[in-house]
Amino acid sequence: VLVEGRGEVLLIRLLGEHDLATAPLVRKSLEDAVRDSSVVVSLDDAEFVDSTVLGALFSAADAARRLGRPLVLHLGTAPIVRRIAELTGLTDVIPCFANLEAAIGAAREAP
Amino acid sequence: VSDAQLEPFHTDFQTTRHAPAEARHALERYARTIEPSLLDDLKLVTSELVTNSVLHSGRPDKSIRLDLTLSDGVLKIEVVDCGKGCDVLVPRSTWPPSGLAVVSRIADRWSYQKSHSFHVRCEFDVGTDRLIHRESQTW
Repeated sequence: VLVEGRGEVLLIRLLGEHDLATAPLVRKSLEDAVRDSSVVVSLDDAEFVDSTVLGALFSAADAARRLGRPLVLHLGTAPIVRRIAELTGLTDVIPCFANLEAAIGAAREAP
Repeated sequence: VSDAQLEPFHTDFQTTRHAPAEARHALERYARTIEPSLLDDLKLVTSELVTNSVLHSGRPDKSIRLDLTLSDGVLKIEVVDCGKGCDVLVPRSTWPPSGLAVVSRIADRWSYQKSHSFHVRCEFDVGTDRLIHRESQTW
């Protein structure tokens, strides 16, 4: 999990494979991030994500919503990540962007 | 190519949080000639099933077994743990999705069986063209 500051937006990149072994770290990183910032989570460098990671994303998006802060996803291009996103309807529950700058722009502009 | 076959594949994993990744990596090594999109689906399903075994078997002292077989165009994945399983196993369709919800949307059929151990099986109807990835044949 790589965290970068992009102005007032925190960009959280999930690098490599994420599953049961890393879901607690992902969950904690996202919880900490949404407490203070608008957040973009990039899955562009993710090689795998499973249902436990989607659960962490969902919890963070829910927490962000309650705090009135945006959390958006940069979906990226890895076919296996796109596959689970499509199967589960991820794009219906969290705003998703194919382009990183568009995702950061959306996080910045959101009320 | 017409005699495209996959040898049966069996392996065991310790019941730890690293078992899902170990199972995916074992699949990648075993099934390197499989069409990439089918391999992705097998990895997603296997990872979720092994994850469920790690989370719910309640037997960290016992290993988890993964079996993969191909017969008559049907690829079967079976994950076996030494737990009692659940009374009723139903894919949760609301968010966040359960592992079994992911499995049920990918596999053509799935089932589970309780005895002294807990078995979850998935079947994929595959043609031989999906088992041999064209680009791999030059290797």
